[in-house]
Amino acid sequence: MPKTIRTGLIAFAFLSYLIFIGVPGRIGENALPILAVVAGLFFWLNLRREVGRKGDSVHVLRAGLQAGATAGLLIAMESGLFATLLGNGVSIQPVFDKIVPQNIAALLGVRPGAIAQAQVPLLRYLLQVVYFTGSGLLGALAVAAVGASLRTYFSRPAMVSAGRWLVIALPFVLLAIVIYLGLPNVKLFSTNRGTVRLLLTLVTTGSGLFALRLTRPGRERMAVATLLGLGVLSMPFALDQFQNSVMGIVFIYVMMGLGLNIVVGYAGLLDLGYVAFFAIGAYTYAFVSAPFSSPFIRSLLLDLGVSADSPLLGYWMALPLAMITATIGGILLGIPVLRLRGDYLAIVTLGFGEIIRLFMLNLGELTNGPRGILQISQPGLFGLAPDAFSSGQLSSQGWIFLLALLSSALIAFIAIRLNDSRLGRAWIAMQEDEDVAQATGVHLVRTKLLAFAIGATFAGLAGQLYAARQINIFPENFSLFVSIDALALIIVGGIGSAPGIVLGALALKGLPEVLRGVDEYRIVTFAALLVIMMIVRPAGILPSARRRFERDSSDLDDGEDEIVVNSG
Amino acid sequence: MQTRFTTLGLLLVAALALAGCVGMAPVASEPPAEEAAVDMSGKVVIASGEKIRIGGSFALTGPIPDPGKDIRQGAEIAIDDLNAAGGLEGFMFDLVAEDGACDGTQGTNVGNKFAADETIVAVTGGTCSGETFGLIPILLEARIPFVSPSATNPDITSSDCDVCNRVALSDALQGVVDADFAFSDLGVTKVAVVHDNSDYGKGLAEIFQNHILALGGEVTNFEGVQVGDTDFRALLAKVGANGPEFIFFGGYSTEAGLIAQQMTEAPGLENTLFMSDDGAYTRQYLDAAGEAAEGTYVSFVAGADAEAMNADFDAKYLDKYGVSPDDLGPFHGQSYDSVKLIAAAIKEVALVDSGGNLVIDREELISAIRAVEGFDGLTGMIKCDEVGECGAGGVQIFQVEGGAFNQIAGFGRE
Amino acid sequence: MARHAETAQKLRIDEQAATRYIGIAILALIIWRVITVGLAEGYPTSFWISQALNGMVLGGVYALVALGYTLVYGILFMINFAHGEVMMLGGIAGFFALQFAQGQGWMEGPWLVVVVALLFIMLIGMVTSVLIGMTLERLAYRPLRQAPRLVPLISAIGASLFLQYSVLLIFGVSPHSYRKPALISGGLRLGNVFIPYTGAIIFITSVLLMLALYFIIQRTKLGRAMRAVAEDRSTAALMGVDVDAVIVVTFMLGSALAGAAGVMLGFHNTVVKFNSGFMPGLKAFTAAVLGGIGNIPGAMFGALVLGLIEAIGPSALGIPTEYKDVIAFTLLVLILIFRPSGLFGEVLSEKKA
Repeated sequence: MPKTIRTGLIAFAFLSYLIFIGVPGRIGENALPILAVVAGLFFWLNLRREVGRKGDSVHVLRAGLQAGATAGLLIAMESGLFATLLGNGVSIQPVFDKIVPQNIAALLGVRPGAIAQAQVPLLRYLLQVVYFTGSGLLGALAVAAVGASLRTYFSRPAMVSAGRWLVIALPFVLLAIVIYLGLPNVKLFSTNRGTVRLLLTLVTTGSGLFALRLTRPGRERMAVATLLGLGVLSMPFALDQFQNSVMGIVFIYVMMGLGLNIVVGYAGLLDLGYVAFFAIGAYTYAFVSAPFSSPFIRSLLLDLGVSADSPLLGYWMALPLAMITATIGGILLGIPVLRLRGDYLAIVTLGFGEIIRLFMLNLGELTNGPRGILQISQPGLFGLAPDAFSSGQLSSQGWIFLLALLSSALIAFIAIRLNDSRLGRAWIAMQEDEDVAQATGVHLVRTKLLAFAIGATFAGLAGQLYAARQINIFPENFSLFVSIDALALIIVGGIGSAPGIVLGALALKGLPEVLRGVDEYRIVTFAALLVIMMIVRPAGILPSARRRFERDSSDLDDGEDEIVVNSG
Repeated sequence: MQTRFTTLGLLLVAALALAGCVGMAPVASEPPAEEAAVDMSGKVVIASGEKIRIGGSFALTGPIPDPGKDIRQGAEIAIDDLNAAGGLEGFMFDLVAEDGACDGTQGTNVGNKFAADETIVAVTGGTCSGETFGLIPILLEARIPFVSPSATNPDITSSDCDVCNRVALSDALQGVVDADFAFSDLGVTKVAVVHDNSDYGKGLAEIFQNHILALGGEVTNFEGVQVGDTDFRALLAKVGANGPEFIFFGGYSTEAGLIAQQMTEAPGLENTLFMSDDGAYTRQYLDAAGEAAEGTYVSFVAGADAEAMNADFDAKYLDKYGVSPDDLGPFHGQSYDSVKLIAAAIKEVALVDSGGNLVIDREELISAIRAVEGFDGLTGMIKCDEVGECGAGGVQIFQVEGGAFNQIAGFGRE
Repeated sequence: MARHAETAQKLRIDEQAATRYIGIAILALIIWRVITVGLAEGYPTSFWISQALNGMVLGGVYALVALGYTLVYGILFMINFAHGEVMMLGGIAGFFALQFAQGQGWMEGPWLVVVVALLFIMLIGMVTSVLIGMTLERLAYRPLRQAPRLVPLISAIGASLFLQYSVLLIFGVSPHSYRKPALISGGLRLGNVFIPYTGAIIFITSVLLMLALYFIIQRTKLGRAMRAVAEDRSTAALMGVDVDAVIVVTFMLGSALAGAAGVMLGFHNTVVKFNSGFMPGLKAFTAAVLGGIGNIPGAMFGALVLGLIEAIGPSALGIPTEYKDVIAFTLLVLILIFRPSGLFGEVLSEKKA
């Protein structure tokens, strides 16, 4: 089978998938052109890989034409099949939930009624073929015009220098736009300004990390870092409730990611039950903050003659408590698993996480079971609510965001310092080879337990803030998926690297919120990106210095970053 | 190395351009412009041309997706009807539907989302009790009143919560009627009670248990399962060892159906009767139980049937969604009424200011909902009391016969 | 240096002795609890037999899925997190095959027709799972074979979520209910013990498939190639083993078993939906680890132990049934603490994880 036909088939499979999950119906009347553009992008990426290398322009264009026509013909046949079936009153929905007249009509660019009455003009199918053939040509044109020259163009020294300053300036420009959009009488993006601002906020924060990495170490980096820090600190004041609430959760996950990074990234202990410590922190704070929600604590307090109607401890007083209980949890998990390695450790920690969740679920007397702990109080400052002490400048969600930001900074500082310390080197030695590390004098028990304990403490902190942000917490808040999210974000961002974790959290916890408008497709998009991301950049977006060094110097022996496709 | 980052950085610039594009494209459910939002605290100001936004928390995923969808569609029909009647002072209504997923976690997320969106006037939902418990503290703090069409746990409404209202009937009623039916009509004394650990199922199971005990019956087992379990054989063997005459299940369709089915195979439960609740009064229950559904009982908190109005509603529903409302779930009528109830209360308090903006005072709206009286809904005469119970109707008992629910006792048959 | 090593050696021995005593103490505690609480409840013997049968059926399902995990792990050293979803897709495909068979009236025919139709449904489920498994391997895992170990794990998690939510989007959110044909509904009633036919089929099939798999691995040329790849991939390649082909076949075998499990579980529990592969997948993985991952009889044994503990555990220990998963996971943690490489150890290859 010629490669171009194969490309067409793959494109057809991809487009069919979109049809089966109901994307055309969701887009509405412009579905066909939009899908054609998507297909064009797909062809661009594919043709670049398959024919780009030997490609003179004519060859590439012919390939695009063939691939596009193949996909177009097949799509036309598929929609013809569905339209005929639906037109004859066959209901496909019991099998394929999204194959309904509305969806197929959008794909053909006709009214839903036309499908039901089986009155689709033949021209419509022809138009589909034309559109997708066009997208094949478009992709090929893009390959021929841009080709692989993009990277070489930007790599010229002059471009690098100019580009560097452009990138460093970018976050500040973006921040200015974000703040501008928040002004009361700005009319831009009137219908969906909230989402646009959120997206810009995420991009601003992310671009700040790139900017920081591009600065030269020394005074330049210090200056840019200070300015960036000030910029980020201004955000909670400038954003509104919606963006603040999303950024709050992003940075709570940054806190968790930094903690997990100590266990996984530094010490090399694969922990799939990290959510347990997050849960311990959250429930500890919940118990002291909302004792009335827990039947057991309530009756205990009543027996002691204390009123259970108000919080026992405020946020700040409960802080050490949440940290200590999480630390104890970390050590308790650490001791039994000292002897386990690799995947056995992963599955035992996973089991531990599930045990904690199931206890939260079933110890109804203590945790109120699936009914959750409700009305957890929010943090204040010296007993004042956020808008009181900031004279209305800071919303409750903004205050959570600010706290998450400051805590992340503190945790990142501690983590980086730890990594550079004797303990950090011991962790790395242990990660490379436990036996050798022990032989060279690393105390394995102590080193492992410290990794678990420190990681757990940070998760406890994050959990407490999370409980305060959520107001209500339920056992289902602490499912395996939290562990998976935390693990995914440190790996996507670049394991072992603090900026990478921030970027990972922005991408995995922030971007899905931007996609809220396409809520149904959020998880499949996320999951597909996770797989693609791992294949394209296995070392993460912003890999740590050590891994970058390893990758650059050891391409031959283990090829960590190299994509090796064994055979076609 | 640096070039790589420069390239990545420049790709970011490209992403920015993309951001612009995304910004241009209209997206379905959006927190809209700030000029429509509050600047006076405690008031929602809707600029002319903007819509009156009512949030909706529906269980679109989770254990009862079909009834959740039915409830959303009922609400959408209500919005259509309101707008067809000209809206309010020329302002149209808009439903912001979110997926509450029938659990407290997602209910909390939805609540936080509504609380962060200053243009949400009121909320219809949540579908399930657990979901609604997640909404309550957040909406209470944000001063957004809600009316639930289907959350039946007795604790949803209370004198402590002035924003909490519902048109569904409390399980305090359902649990007692079910227990009376089992004890008096069926004449069983030895019963086992199973629940799904949800706020709704467990709450109802406890009420049932207490009333059976009060009547002088014996409860052999009180056991919990998890929503999503599919193998109940170990549990049923344990229950069967005590030989109960009757099993009551508090929970949702799929689990109820599977328990009814697996009961037929469990030793000691061959002749045991099975009864479940309004969460199981669905097609999904009949599907999951298969032939084992025959002869089992379910109860439902029904509204009075205003036939002419219902026929009109059913026609609109069938026309818009291509299915008959009863195929998906039972609560569409309550959902319709809940939106209409909110609209009626908004009408009482909304004012048009000098700039042509519609101004709704949140506190006034909260008390206006409680003051609604004698409003003629699909489920009967809606009248809210001082704790927010607005429902009309009573509890009906059905038995499955020939693959369909057949009412044998309860409201409308006495 | 030597003295240091000696001390380390001595410490390790002490540690081992200590864990052994703790282990014995825990075991004694459990037995004491069973005698004083579980047996004191006074359940009849038939109750325990019923529960054991329930446990064996559950174990049979876990075993079929666990074998797939173990195979893939034994050869690639990667946790195929999406394996539960491969099973679920087999179940979904089986559901539609069953719908089709019912539409044709095959399910009401003479028993031979019904048996053939059931085998056809099973085959459809297995073929679907095999196709999905192969696609997964090709798209999500093969490009990552040289990457660090965590990377394919994340890719597998992504694939798992992708499959779950694609099924949700494509086939709808409502559960699909299997309708059992008369031939396999009901079961054997022996006094107070009831054995559902579907349960018996699951258990027998899983034992047969496990034996077949063991035979393939130990006695055939393909099996020898698989063991060689598990031992050392590059040396195997030098010896003329087509490593890619062996890995693909491994995925096909594992997925076929999962597909069979999906269909049989569909008939047994009668409900399949987008996330119904997740929990069994997790449990099956637990079972595989319990038996010593990479070890085929170990996976089977681990699955049976897990199934039995889940069914009998709550009654025996006098704990509410809600805690069955807690008991299962606690058992896993305990066993791994005392036997860090599972009950039977890793056999397919000796390589350290």
